[in-house]
Amino acid sequence: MKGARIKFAVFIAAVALGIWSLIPTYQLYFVLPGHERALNARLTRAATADDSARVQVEMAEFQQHKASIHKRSLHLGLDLVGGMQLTLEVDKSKLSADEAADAGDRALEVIRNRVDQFGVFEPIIQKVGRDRILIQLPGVDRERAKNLIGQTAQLKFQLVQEERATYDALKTLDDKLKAAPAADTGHPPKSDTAKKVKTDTSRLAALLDTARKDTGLTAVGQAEEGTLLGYVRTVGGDFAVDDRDYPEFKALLERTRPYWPAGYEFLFGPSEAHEGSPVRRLYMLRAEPEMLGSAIKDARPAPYQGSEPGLTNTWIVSLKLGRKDAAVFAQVTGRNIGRRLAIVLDNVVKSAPVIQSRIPDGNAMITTNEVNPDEARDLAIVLRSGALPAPVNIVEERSVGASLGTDSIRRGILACLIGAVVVVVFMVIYYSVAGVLADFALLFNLFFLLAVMAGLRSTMTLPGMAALALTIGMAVDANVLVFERIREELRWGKTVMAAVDAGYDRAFVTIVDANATTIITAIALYFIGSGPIRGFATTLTAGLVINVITAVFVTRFIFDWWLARFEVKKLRI
Amino acid sequence: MRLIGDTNIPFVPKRRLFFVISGLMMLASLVVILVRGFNYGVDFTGGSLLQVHFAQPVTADAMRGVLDKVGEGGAGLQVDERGDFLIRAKAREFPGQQTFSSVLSQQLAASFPGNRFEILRDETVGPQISKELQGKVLLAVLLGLLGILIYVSFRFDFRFGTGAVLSLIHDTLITLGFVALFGKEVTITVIAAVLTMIGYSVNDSIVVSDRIREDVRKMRKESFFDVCNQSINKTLSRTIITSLTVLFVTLALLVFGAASIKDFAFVMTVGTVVGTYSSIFIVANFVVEWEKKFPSKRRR
Repeated sequence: MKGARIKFAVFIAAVALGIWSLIPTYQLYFVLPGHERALNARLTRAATADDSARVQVEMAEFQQHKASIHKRSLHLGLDLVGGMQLTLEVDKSKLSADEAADAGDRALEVIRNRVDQFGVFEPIIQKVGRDRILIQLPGVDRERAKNLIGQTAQLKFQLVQEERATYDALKTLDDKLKAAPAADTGHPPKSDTAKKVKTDTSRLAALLDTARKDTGLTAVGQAEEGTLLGYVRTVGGDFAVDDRDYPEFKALLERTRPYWPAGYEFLFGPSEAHEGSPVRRLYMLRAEPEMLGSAIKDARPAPYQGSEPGLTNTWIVSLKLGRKDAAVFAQVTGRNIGRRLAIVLDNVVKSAPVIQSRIPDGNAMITTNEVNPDEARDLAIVLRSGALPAPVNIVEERSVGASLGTDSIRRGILACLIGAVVVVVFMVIYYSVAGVLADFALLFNLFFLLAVMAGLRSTMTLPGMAALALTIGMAVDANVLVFERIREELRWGKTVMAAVDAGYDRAFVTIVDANATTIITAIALYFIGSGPIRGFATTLTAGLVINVITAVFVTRFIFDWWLARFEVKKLRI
Repeated sequence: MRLIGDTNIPFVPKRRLFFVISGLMMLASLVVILVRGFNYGVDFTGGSLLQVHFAQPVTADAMRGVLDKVGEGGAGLQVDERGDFLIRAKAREFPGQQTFSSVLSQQLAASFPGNRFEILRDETVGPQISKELQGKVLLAVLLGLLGILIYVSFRFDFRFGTGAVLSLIHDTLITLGFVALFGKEVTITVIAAVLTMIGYSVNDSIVVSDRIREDVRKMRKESFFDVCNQSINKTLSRTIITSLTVLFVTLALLVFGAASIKDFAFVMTVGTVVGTYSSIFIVANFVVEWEKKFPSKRRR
């Protein structure tokens, strides 16, 4: 049997190819995690700085090795490993036509930079359509990552208007409000603003107190409805509003926008705790920035070293300006000694330090008020990688926690195993020896399916596991068609050889027909294009194609070989 | 071993009975779909689906309170088999980089201090995306159906092709009826199951039709009706066994699979049963009925 030898050789070659294609996958999921744990353990045990440095070098090499293996493996989808998928849309509404043209590409570049510096293993960042960006990040702190990616990071340095002038401006705006009350004059403050005034004895507090008396409000615990000053209190020498009143106050302030003093704008600080309740500071700033974030050459997180008591142990971002910009900064600071310079990030006043002296070396800092260095680290990354050309909105998010993903894998494998065992046992009971043959085919099927998927670097998703289970059920279908046909042919009195021949020949067309329709639908599903379903479509398509091949060629070959080798005269099927 | 021996069940003579059964099932499905409607998931409605897990159990009332606080009192709240909360909220805009999940986790941290929680799943789909997804899914379903139609019309003559397509509509309608009846959430995965079910149920119809074509050629003496009845009986065993092996697997998925796969398995299980029924009782019978009303000029 010369033909049989060649067929056998082809089969062995296919198996070898399959094993070769699965080796990286095996390494990635079964060998490397052990190595990684060992390295981590060594790092924590490292006694000296030298040891630690050596392990870190090994660690870096290991990560490179892992990345190269990962490229050649069967990937697991985010719904199985846990992670986050975001679709961002670049908001071009405020851009000119010129700026809008390449805003998508620029945003992509900036976000790629940020994610790279954040240090995520194998992220996917790609443009979808004209101004959407798809990001897939396996296993990350979601809120942190979202914040990192989404910050526009437009940094400005703006001069702060003096307190008295700010107060006067607010008072003028209140007069305007009284002159032209809108239908909805706002709600009384939810907070006990007026009560708190008493605890602050600054000059500002005194001012506010007089203001309240002027407007006829004497009783503590009341604030005039519909006025800006009614909401305002003082916090450490700044005006502030209670965070709970913030939306209403902001809306009220927004209504007075046409009357704002020319060349100035009002901005808020971040929400912060003050005497047990959340507040936001209010600043009146010169609208024209003294300097822009593009002047920053480098930004690094650092522990706070200064003398302000509230900031000890907190982290800051230390900024370094370029040489030319440092000169400008020196000029600005030199001219405005004693005034305050606000550092404004995405229209939020991060801090507003008083300029003590001229700063010649181009160093500045942004305080975070956080003991945890994460915010400072992320902010430094964002500032280093530059500002987004326009704000981005999250239009779609799909995240899965790692523990849920592990649970899905466990249950998916369990369901596949139980389904497979039932099918395998059934086939043996129902078709005896031929059933064993079909079971072998099933095994090869699964093996080749995984090998092909690894070879194509496709992604296994949760629906993909369902498709894997389905292919188990459908894999034996082709053999059932053949075996049933052989039974019939045998009943008609054909010899074993002739019956097997006829069975395979007759069933072949039917097998192709039957699988073709399922493959057609699977291909159609591929076009929905959402990650998990794509995994389903590829797994099912590959599974069915391999089904046809193994059922028709592999089992037939073994069947023929078995019949010839043992000279089978009577077939129990 | 054989489950089904040589049978001679009068499938064709009793066809009217099966038409009535199928007609009633389809009608019932249509009524259920129209009356109950589908429970569309966030893929299609837009909005958020969150799964929240707590280290220490939290009552549904307490969770309601938190939802009220973040202005989502109307959100759907459900406790799943793992004891996790499933929260479904409508699409809403939040300032800056905030999303429903970030707003909720802030409030959860404030409301349940000391109780660790994790948002295990967050599917948030904006209105624009959900609209696009609807379009894409519709396109995929149409493409799939069109593909099957073209294939069937190439491989079969007009009558069997029409029969296969009718049985396909029959299977889909009844399966969707079950989806509506049990209030299963219609997600992209469920749509994938429906489409796969369609592709697979055509399989059985093809096996039966193939056999009839072969037998018509072989058994020239017998009438078309007898040939059909015999062919259905002859393929009965394989039709049932092939469906059985798939059912083993879909049932395993239904019992042991992860939550989001259960709905998929449900559709596949119902679809496989209905599809098998229609391949045995409907497809050939439809062709027989057609042949009787409008006899073709020459025997195929």
